[in-house]
Amino acid sequence: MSTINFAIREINFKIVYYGPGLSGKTTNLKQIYDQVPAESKGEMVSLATEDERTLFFDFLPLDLGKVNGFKTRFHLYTVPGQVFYNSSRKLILRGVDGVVFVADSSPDRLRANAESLRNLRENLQEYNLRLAEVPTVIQVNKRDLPDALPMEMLTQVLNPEDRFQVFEAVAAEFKGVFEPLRAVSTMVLEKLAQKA
Amino acid sequence: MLEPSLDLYGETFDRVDGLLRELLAKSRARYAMIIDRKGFVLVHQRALWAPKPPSLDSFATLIASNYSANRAIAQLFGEEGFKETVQQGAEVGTYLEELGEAALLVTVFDSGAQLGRVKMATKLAAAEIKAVIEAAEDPPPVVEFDKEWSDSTTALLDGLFGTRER
Repeated sequence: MSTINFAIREINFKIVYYGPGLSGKTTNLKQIYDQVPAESKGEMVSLATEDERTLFFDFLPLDLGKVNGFKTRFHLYTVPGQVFYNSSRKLILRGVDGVVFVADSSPDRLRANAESLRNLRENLQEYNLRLAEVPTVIQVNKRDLPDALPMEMLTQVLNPEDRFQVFEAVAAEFKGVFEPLRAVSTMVLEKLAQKA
Repeated sequence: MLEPSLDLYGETFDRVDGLLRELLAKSRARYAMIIDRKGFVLVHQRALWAPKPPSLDSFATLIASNYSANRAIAQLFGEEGFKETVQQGAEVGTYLEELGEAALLVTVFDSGAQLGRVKMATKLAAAEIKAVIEAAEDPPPVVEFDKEWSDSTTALLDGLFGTRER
Protein backbone atom coordinates (compact mmCIF):
# COMPACT_ATOMS: atom_id res chain seq x y z
CA MET A 1 0.00 0.00 0.00
CA SER A 2 1.42 3.37 -1.01
CA THR A 3 2.37 5.80 1.74
CA ILE A 4 0.82 9.24 1.37
CA ASN A 5 2.27 11.98 3.50
CA PHE A 6 -0.32 14.75 3.37
CA ALA A 7 1.67 17.11 5.56
CA ILE A 8 4.63 17.36 3.20
CA ARG A 9 2.58 16.42 0.12
CA GLU A 10 4.51 13.35 -0.84
CA ILE A 11 3.43 9.96 -2.15
CA ASN A 12 5.70 6.95 -1.96
CA PHE A 13 5.54 3.58 -3.67
CA LYS A 14 7.45 0.40 -2.96
CA ILE A 15 8.54 -1.80 -5.87
CA VAL A 16 10.23 -5.12 -5.11
CA TYR A 17 12.49 -7.06 -7.49
CA TYR A 18 11.91 -10.74 -6.76
CA GLY A 19 13.37 -13.89 -8.30
CA PRO A 20 15.81 -16.76 -7.84
CA GLY A 21 19.40 -16.29 -6.75
CA LEU A 22 21.74 -14.82 -9.36
CA SER A 23 18.93 -13.95 -11.76
CA GLY A 24 20.06 -10.31 -11.90
CA LYS A 25 17.92 -8.38 -9.41
CA THR A 26 20.81 -6.37 -7.99
CA THR A 27 22.14 -5.80 -11.51
CA ASN A 28 18.80 -4.17 -12.41
CA LEU A 29 19.09 -1.73 -9.52
CA LYS A 30 22.73 -0.96 -10.29
CA GLN A 31 21.88 -0.23 -13.91
CA ILE A 32 18.99 2.01 -12.91
CA TYR A 33 21.26 3.81 -10.47
CA ASP A 34 23.82 4.40 -13.25
CA GLN A 35 21.21 5.73 -15.69
CA VAL A 36 19.24 8.08 -13.46
CA PRO A 37 20.51 11.67 -13.01
CA ALA A 38 21.98 12.44 -9.58
CA GLU A 39 19.22 14.86 -8.60
CA SER A 40 16.56 12.14 -9.08
CA LYS A 41 18.09 9.39 -6.99
CA GLY A 42 19.23 8.80 -3.45
CA GLU A 43 22.00 6.59 -2.17
CA MET A 44 21.88 2.95 -3.17
CA VAL A 45 22.15 0.74 -0.11
CA SER A 46 23.25 -2.89 -0.49
CA LEU A 47 23.31 -5.33 2.39
CA ALA A 48 25.43 -8.07 0.83
CA THR A 49 27.77 -10.84 1.87
CA GLU A 50 31.52 -10.65 1.27
CA ASP A 51 31.10 -12.37 -2.08
CA GLU A 52 28.51 -9.76 -3.11
CA ARG A 53 25.45 -11.96 -2.79
CA THR A 54 22.45 -10.09 -1.43
CA LEU A 55 22.09 -10.87 2.27
CA PHE A 56 19.05 -8.77 3.20
CA PHE A 57 18.16 -6.32 0.43
CA ASP A 58 19.32 -3.63 -1.98
CA PHE A 59 17.53 -0.30 -1.84
CA LEU A 60 17.35 2.59 -4.29
CA PRO A 61 15.05 5.63 -3.88
CA LEU A 62 13.92 7.43 -7.05
CA ASP A 63 12.40 10.90 -7.03
CA LEU A 64 10.16 11.54 -10.03
CA GLY A 65 9.18 15.14 -9.30
CA LYS A 66 5.84 16.80 -8.59
CA VAL A 67 2.42 16.19 -10.09
CA ASN A 68 -0.59 18.16 -8.81
CA GLY A 69 1.59 19.46 -5.99
CA PHE A 70 2.49 15.97 -4.78
CA LYS A 71 6.08 14.80 -4.90
CA THR A 72 6.12 11.25 -6.23
CA ARG A 73 8.78 8.79 -5.16
CA PHE A 74 9.52 5.14 -5.86
CA HIS A 75 11.53 3.02 -3.47
CA LEU A 76 13.06 0.05 -5.27
CA TYR A 77 14.09 -3.04 -3.32
CA THR A 78 15.58 -6.39 -4.20
CA VAL A 79 15.18 -9.51 -2.11
CA PRO A 80 17.91 -12.09 -1.47
CA GLY A 81 17.26 -14.86 -3.98
CA GLN A 82 18.94 -17.73 -2.21
CA VAL A 83 16.41 -20.23 -0.88
CA PHE A 84 17.53 -20.09 2.76
CA TYR A 85 16.90 -16.33 3.09
CA ASN A 86 13.14 -16.66 3.02
CA SER A 87 12.61 -14.82 6.31
CA SER A 88 14.27 -11.76 4.80
CA ARG A 89 12.17 -12.00 1.64
CA LYS A 90 8.99 -12.02 3.70
CA LEU A 91 10.02 -8.91 5.62
CA ILE A 92 10.84 -6.98 2.47
CA LEU A 93 7.45 -7.70 0.91
CA ARG A 94 5.74 -5.76 3.70
CA GLY A 95 3.82 -2.88 2.12
CA VAL A 96 4.76 -3.83 -1.45
CA ASP A 97 2.98 -1.92 -4.21
CA GLY A 98 4.41 -3.72 -7.24
CA VAL A 99 6.71 -6.61 -8.17
CA VAL A 100 9.22 -7.14 -10.96
CA PHE A 101 9.86 -10.87 -11.09
CA VAL A 102 13.35 -11.40 -12.53
CA ALA A 103 13.62 -14.83 -14.16
CA ASP A 104 16.87 -16.45 -15.26
CA SER A 105 17.20 -17.79 -18.83
CA SER A 106 19.93 -20.28 -17.89
CA PRO A 107 18.95 -23.86 -18.83
CA ASP A 108 19.55 -25.16 -15.32
CA ARG A 109 17.43 -22.45 -13.64
CA LEU A 110 13.98 -23.30 -14.93
CA ARG A 111 12.98 -25.05 -11.74
CA ALA A 112 14.52 -22.30 -9.57
CA ASN A 113 12.41 -19.73 -11.45
CA ALA A 114 9.23 -21.73 -10.87
CA GLU A 115 10.04 -22.29 -7.20
CA SER A 116 10.79 -18.61 -6.66
CA LEU A 117 7.47 -17.60 -8.21
CA ARG A 118 5.68 -20.09 -5.98
CA ASN A 119 7.61 -18.72 -3.02
CA LEU A 120 6.48 -15.18 -3.96
CA ARG A 121 2.86 -16.34 -3.94
CA GLU A 122 3.31 -17.98 -0.51
CA ASN A 123 5.04 -14.98 1.01
CA LEU A 124 2.40 -12.57 -0.27
CA GLN A 125 -0.21 -14.73 1.42
CA GLU A 126 1.49 -13.93 4.73
CA TYR A 127 0.23 -10.36 4.17
CA ASN A 128 -3.17 -11.59 2.97
CA LEU A 129 -2.30 -10.64 -0.59
CA ARG A 130 -2.81 -12.67 -3.74
CA LEU A 131 -0.33 -12.35 -6.59
CA ALA A 132 -3.22 -11.49 -8.91
CA GLU A 133 -3.96 -8.42 -6.73
CA VAL A 134 -0.41 -7.05 -6.78
CA PRO A 135 0.79 -5.30 -9.96
CA THR A 136 3.43 -7.70 -11.26
CA VAL A 137 5.51 -8.04 -14.41
CA ILE A 138 8.07 -10.66 -15.43
CA GLN A 139 11.52 -9.77 -16.73
CA VAL A 140 13.26 -12.71 -18.41
CA ASN A 141 16.91 -11.86 -17.95
CA LYS A 142 20.15 -13.11 -19.50
CA ARG A 143 18.68 -13.46 -22.99
CA ASP A 144 22.22 -13.16 -24.38
CA LEU A 145 23.23 -16.59 -23.07
CA PRO A 146 24.10 -18.86 -26.00
CA ASP A 147 22.07 -21.68 -24.44
CA ALA A 148 19.25 -19.50 -23.11
CA LEU A 149 15.98 -21.35 -22.63
CA PRO A 150 13.38 -20.59 -25.31
CA MET A 151 10.91 -17.88 -24.31
CA GLU A 152 8.01 -20.23 -25.05
CA MET A 153 9.26 -22.70 -22.45
CA LEU A 154 9.77 -20.00 -19.82
CA THR A 155 6.40 -18.41 -20.38
CA GLN A 156 4.69 -21.80 -20.26
CA VAL A 157 6.16 -22.35 -16.81
CA LEU A 158 5.95 -18.83 -15.38
CA ASN A 159 3.00 -17.34 -17.18
CA PRO A 160 0.81 -20.17 -18.49
CA GLU A 161 -2.38 -18.10 -18.29
CA ASP A 162 -0.80 -15.03 -19.86
CA ARG A 163 -1.58 -12.93 -16.79
CA PHE A 164 1.63 -10.95 -16.68
CA GLN A 165 3.43 -8.65 -19.08
CA VAL A 166 6.74 -10.31 -19.97
CA PHE A 167 9.93 -8.51 -20.98
CA GLU A 168 13.15 -9.95 -22.36
CA ALA A 169 16.30 -8.44 -20.91
CA VAL A 170 20.06 -8.38 -20.72
CA ALA A 171 20.19 -6.39 -17.50
CA ALA A 172 23.98 -6.22 -17.43
CA GLU A 173 23.76 -4.12 -20.63
CA PHE A 174 20.69 -2.10 -19.53
CA LYS A 175 18.62 -3.87 -22.19
CA GLY A 176 15.07 -4.45 -20.97
CA VAL A 177 15.72 -2.87 -17.57
CA PHE A 178 13.58 0.25 -17.86
CA GLU A 179 10.58 -1.31 -19.63
CA PRO A 180 9.47 -3.64 -16.80
CA LEU A 181 9.97 -0.88 -14.23
CA ARG A 182 7.87 1.47 -16.33
CA ALA A 183 5.20 -1.18 -16.83
CA VAL A 184 4.87 -2.10 -13.16
CA SER A 185 4.97 1.57 -12.11
CA THR A 186 2.18 2.39 -14.54
CA MET A 187 0.11 -0.48 -13.16
CA VAL A 188 0.72 0.75 -9.59
CA LEU A 189 -0.25 4.32 -10.49
CA GLU A 190 -3.37 3.21 -12.35
CA LYS A 191 -4.40 1.02 -9.42
CA LEU A 192 -4.17 4.00 -7.09
CA ALA A 193 -6.04 6.20 -9.57
CA GLN A 194 -8.84 3.62 -9.72
CA LYS A 195 -9.07 3.46 -5.92
CA ALA A 196 -9.18 7.20 -5.40
CA MET B 1 -10.09 4.76 -0.46
CA LEU B 2 -6.49 5.63 0.20
CA GLU B 3 -5.00 4.36 3.41
CA PRO B 4 -2.03 6.34 4.71
CA SER B 5 0.04 4.27 7.12
CA LEU B 6 -0.33 7.01 9.70
CA ASP B 7 -2.51 10.08 9.37
CA LEU B 8 -0.31 13.08 10.10
CA TYR B 9 -1.51 16.39 8.72
CA GLY B 10 -2.87 19.74 9.78
CA GLU B 11 -3.04 20.44 13.50
CA THR B 12 -2.04 16.86 14.39
CA PHE B 13 1.11 17.18 12.31
CA ASP B 14 1.96 20.53 13.94
CA ARG B 15 1.53 19.13 17.44
CA VAL B 16 3.61 16.03 16.68
CA ASP B 17 6.26 18.22 15.08
CA GLY B 18 6.34 20.31 18.27
CA LEU B 19 6.67 17.18 20.41
CA LEU B 20 9.69 16.09 18.36
CA ARG B 21 11.31 19.49 18.97
CA GLU B 22 10.63 19.12 22.71
CA LEU B 23 12.11 15.63 22.61
CA LEU B 24 15.32 16.98 21.09
CA ALA B 25 15.55 19.72 23.70
CA LYS B 26 14.93 17.35 26.64
CA SER B 27 17.15 14.51 25.44
CA ARG B 28 19.92 16.60 23.84
CA ALA B 29 19.73 14.22 20.90
CA ARG B 30 20.70 15.17 17.34
CA TYR B 31 17.66 14.02 15.39
CA ALA B 32 14.20 12.66 16.08
CA MET B 33 11.93 11.21 13.45
CA ILE B 34 8.80 9.20 12.89
CA ILE B 35 8.94 6.59 10.16
CA ASP B 36 6.37 4.08 9.06
CA ARG B 37 7.13 0.40 9.24
CA LYS B 38 7.77 0.24 5.51
CA GLY B 39 10.68 2.64 5.98
CA PHE B 40 9.20 5.94 4.78
CA VAL B 41 9.95 9.11 6.76
CA LEU B 42 6.74 10.77 7.98
CA VAL B 43 8.18 13.67 9.99
CA HIS B 44 11.63 14.57 11.27
CA GLN B 45 13.39 17.21 13.34
CA ARG B 46 17.04 18.11 13.73
CA ALA B 47 18.66 19.96 16.66
CA LEU B 48 19.94 23.39 15.66
CA TRP B 49 23.51 22.46 16.54
CA ALA B 50 23.46 19.00 14.92
CA PRO B 51 25.47 18.24 11.78
CA LYS B 52 23.65 17.48 8.55
CA PRO B 53 22.09 14.03 8.84
CA PRO B 54 22.89 11.17 6.46
CA SER B 55 20.38 10.26 3.73
CA LEU B 56 17.05 10.03 5.55
CA ASP B 57 15.68 7.55 3.00
CA SER B 58 18.54 5.14 3.61
CA PHE B 59 18.41 5.67 7.36
CA ALA B 60 14.66 5.12 7.61
CA THR B 61 14.78 2.04 5.39
CA LEU B 62 17.55 0.47 7.44
CA ILE B 63 15.86 1.30 10.76
CA ALA B 64 12.52 -0.17 9.64
CA SER B 65 14.20 -3.27 8.22
CA ASN B 66 16.30 -3.72 11.33
CA TYR B 67 13.20 -3.35 13.48
CA SER B 68 11.37 -5.99 11.41
CA ALA B 69 14.35 -8.35 11.60
CA ASN B 70 14.65 -7.91 15.38
CA ARG B 71 10.95 -8.54 15.79
CA ALA B 72 11.24 -11.72 13.71
CA ILE B 73 14.15 -12.85 15.90
CA ALA B 74 12.09 -12.23 19.05
CA GLN B 75 9.19 -14.20 17.59
CA LEU B 76 11.49 -17.19 17.03
CA PHE B 77 11.62 -17.35 20.83
CA GLY B 78 7.91 -16.87 21.34
CA GLU B 79 8.21 -13.17 22.16
CA GLU B 80 6.01 -10.55 20.49
CA GLY B 81 9.06 -8.31 20.03
CA PHE B 82 12.00 -6.92 21.96
CA LYS B 83 11.10 -4.26 24.52
CA GLU B 84 14.00 -2.00 23.66
CA THR B 85 16.03 -1.39 20.53
CA VAL B 86 19.18 0.52 21.34
CA GLN B 87 22.29 0.75 19.18
CA GLN B 88 25.43 2.44 20.41
CA GLY B 89 28.61 3.16 18.53
CA ALA B 90 31.71 4.99 19.76
CA GLU B 91 30.10 8.36 19.01
CA VAL B 92 26.55 7.89 17.78
CA GLY B 93 23.60 5.78 18.90
CA THR B 94 19.94 5.24 18.06
CA TYR B 95 16.97 4.51 20.26
CA LEU B 96 13.62 3.32 19.01
CA GLU B 97 10.08 3.26 20.39
CA GLU B 98 6.99 1.83 18.73
CA LEU B 99 4.10 4.14 17.90
CA GLY B 100 1.26 1.64 17.74
CA GLU B 101 1.16 -0.77 14.83
CA ALA B 102 1.90 1.74 12.09
CA ALA B 103 5.03 3.68 12.93
CA LEU B 104 8.27 4.02 14.86
CA LEU B 105 9.82 6.91 16.76
CA VAL B 106 13.60 7.04 16.38
CA THR B 107 16.04 9.22 18.30
CA VAL B 108 19.65 9.61 17.15
CA PHE B 109 22.07 10.82 19.82
CA ASP B 110 25.79 11.26 20.29
CA SER B 111 28.20 11.14 23.21
CA GLY B 112 26.94 14.54 24.40
CA ALA B 113 23.66 12.95 25.47
CA GLN B 114 23.07 10.43 28.26
CA LEU B 115 21.42 7.21 27.16
CA GLY B 116 19.14 7.15 30.20
CA ARG B 117 17.89 10.64 29.45
CA VAL B 118 17.39 9.78 25.76
CA LYS B 119 15.37 6.69 26.67
CA MET B 120 13.19 8.51 29.17
CA ALA B 121 12.51 11.49 26.91
CA THR B 122 11.77 9.22 23.93
CA LYS B 123 9.38 7.03 25.92
CA LEU B 124 7.51 10.11 27.18
CA ALA B 125 7.39 11.63 23.70
CA ALA B 126 6.10 8.34 22.23
CA ALA B 127 3.26 8.25 24.76
CA GLU B 128 2.34 11.88 24.05
CA ILE B 129 2.51 11.41 20.27
CA LYS B 130 0.30 8.33 20.46
CA ALA B 131 -2.23 10.30 22.51
CA VAL B 132 -2.21 13.16 19.98
CA ILE B 133 -2.71 10.78 17.06
CA GLU B 134 -5.50 8.88 18.82
CA ALA B 135 -7.27 12.14 19.67
CA ALA B 136 -7.11 13.47 16.12
CA GLU B 137 -10.60 13.92 14.78
CA ASP B 138 -10.13 15.60 11.41
CA PRO B 139 -10.69 13.24 8.47
CA PRO B 140 -7.78 12.84 6.04
CA PRO B 141 -7.74 15.41 3.23
CA VAL B 142 -9.38 14.33 0.01
CA VAL B 143 -6.88 14.10 -2.83
CA GLU B 144 -7.72 13.23 -6.42
CA PHE B 145 -5.35 10.70 -7.96
CA ASP B 146 -7.06 10.32 -11.31
CA LYS B 147 -6.03 9.00 -14.72
CA GLU B 148 -4.54 12.38 -15.64
CA TRP B 149 -2.35 12.26 -12.55
CA SER B 150 -1.32 8.69 -13.36
CA ASP B 151 -0.41 9.64 -16.96
CA SER B 152 1.54 12.71 -15.83
CA THR B 153 3.51 10.65 -13.33
CA THR B 154 4.31 8.00 -15.95
CA ALA B 155 5.58 10.80 -18.20
CA LEU B 156 7.93 11.88 -15.40
CA LEU B 157 9.20 8.32 -15.21
CA ASP B 158 9.85 8.34 -18.96
CA GLY B 159 11.67 11.65 -18.57
CA LEU B 160 13.86 10.13 -15.89
CA PHE B 161 15.19 7.59 -18.37
CA GLY B 162 15.23 9.97 -21.31
CA THR B 163 12.60 8.00 -23.20
CA ARG B 164 9.81 10.54 -23.32
CA GLU B 165 10.14 10.94 -27.07
CA ARG B 166 10.12 7.24 -27.80
